[in-house]
Amino acid sequence: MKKYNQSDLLITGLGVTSAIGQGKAAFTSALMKGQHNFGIMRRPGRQKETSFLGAEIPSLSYPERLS
Amino acid sequence: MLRTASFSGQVGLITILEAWEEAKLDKADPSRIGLVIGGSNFQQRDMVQMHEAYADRVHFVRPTYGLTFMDSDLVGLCTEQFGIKGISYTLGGASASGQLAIIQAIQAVQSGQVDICIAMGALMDVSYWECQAFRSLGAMGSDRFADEPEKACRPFDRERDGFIYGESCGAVVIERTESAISRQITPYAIITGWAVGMDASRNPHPSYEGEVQVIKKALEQAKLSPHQIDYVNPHGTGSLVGDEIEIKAIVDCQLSNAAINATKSITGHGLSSSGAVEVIATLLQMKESRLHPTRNLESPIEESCNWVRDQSITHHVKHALSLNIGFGGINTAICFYKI
Repeated sequence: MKKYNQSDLLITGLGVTSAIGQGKAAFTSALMKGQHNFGIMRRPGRQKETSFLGAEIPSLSYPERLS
Repeated sequence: MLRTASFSGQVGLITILEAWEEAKLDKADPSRIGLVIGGSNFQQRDMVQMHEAYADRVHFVRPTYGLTFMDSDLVGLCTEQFGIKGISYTLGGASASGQLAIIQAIQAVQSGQVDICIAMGALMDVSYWECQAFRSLGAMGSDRFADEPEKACRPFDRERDGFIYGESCGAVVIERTESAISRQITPYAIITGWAVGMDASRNPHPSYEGEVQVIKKALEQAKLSPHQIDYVNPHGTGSLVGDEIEIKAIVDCQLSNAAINATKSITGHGLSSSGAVEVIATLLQMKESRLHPTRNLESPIEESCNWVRDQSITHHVKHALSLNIGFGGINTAICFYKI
């Protein structure tokens, strides 16, 4: 921390959940490989008469602290 | 808590927890922690499902709908889970919501309202109503690629025809060195400049002047000349007009030499979350000294830019610029510096 001035505004934590991965490790890995999850959206309430393309989160893993 | 939360709420809790633990916020004073949630109308799909389920029996509507239909439900849910007692509110800025939340969080720390502020770009859980309206508006991509969905999302490519939605949520913790030092955190980067500028226009098309204005303001605040920027993370949705205007602004601001890719080509467009998720993508790429590819960029609309195309590349980034644009004429820009 010696290289930073006391008043610098810092980013000290990140969290991400997305269609290409839950958490930074999975997200970064997919980003670098260009791994997408595009397809016809299947979640209830996203289709009626027609369907739409998109990328949906495949499944959520619930950390113990939130259970 | 998770059992009664909406999908946006569940994803928000999981996402904040990751940022919370990395920043070791259990060691911080909860009365000095804030949370700004970027976005609005988070639970449209839930609402459609509920309206359909209770259409013929309105008297039996789930009483908790009185809580969950309001965006502030995410505020209550997340502050209760983490015991946050500083400030918290939601902030609507359409597709610029995530970056607007980050800028508000910066200002909350700067002004001393709190010592630490989490900015979240929340998941906007759209229903078929929003999807159809976006498509009819010409903003969302058509069904031209229905048989080849992997080809549909193509920011900055000549064959693009609109954005493709992608579920996501991002959380970013912001504080000063003096606050972080006691918890022995290794920061990702310093925030050196930021800007918000309005087009004074309800038109969904972005404005060239608005884009140029925020890029110049953010660089000025960061005390940077354009050639010092190593990497630009653009808004880049794949919209016909938006991409043209944004890339012209980037080129005219003399940023053509900076490496550029489009995160949405891989994630899709998270709407309210996209600004935060793309800041996270920017910071993770800076950390890795590696830039991700841009999918489907086969024929760029601007050849003079330094595109990262179909393969990731090694690239040391000292100064990065992240851009967002939102309906309502909202433009945002943030500069980051990695020591």
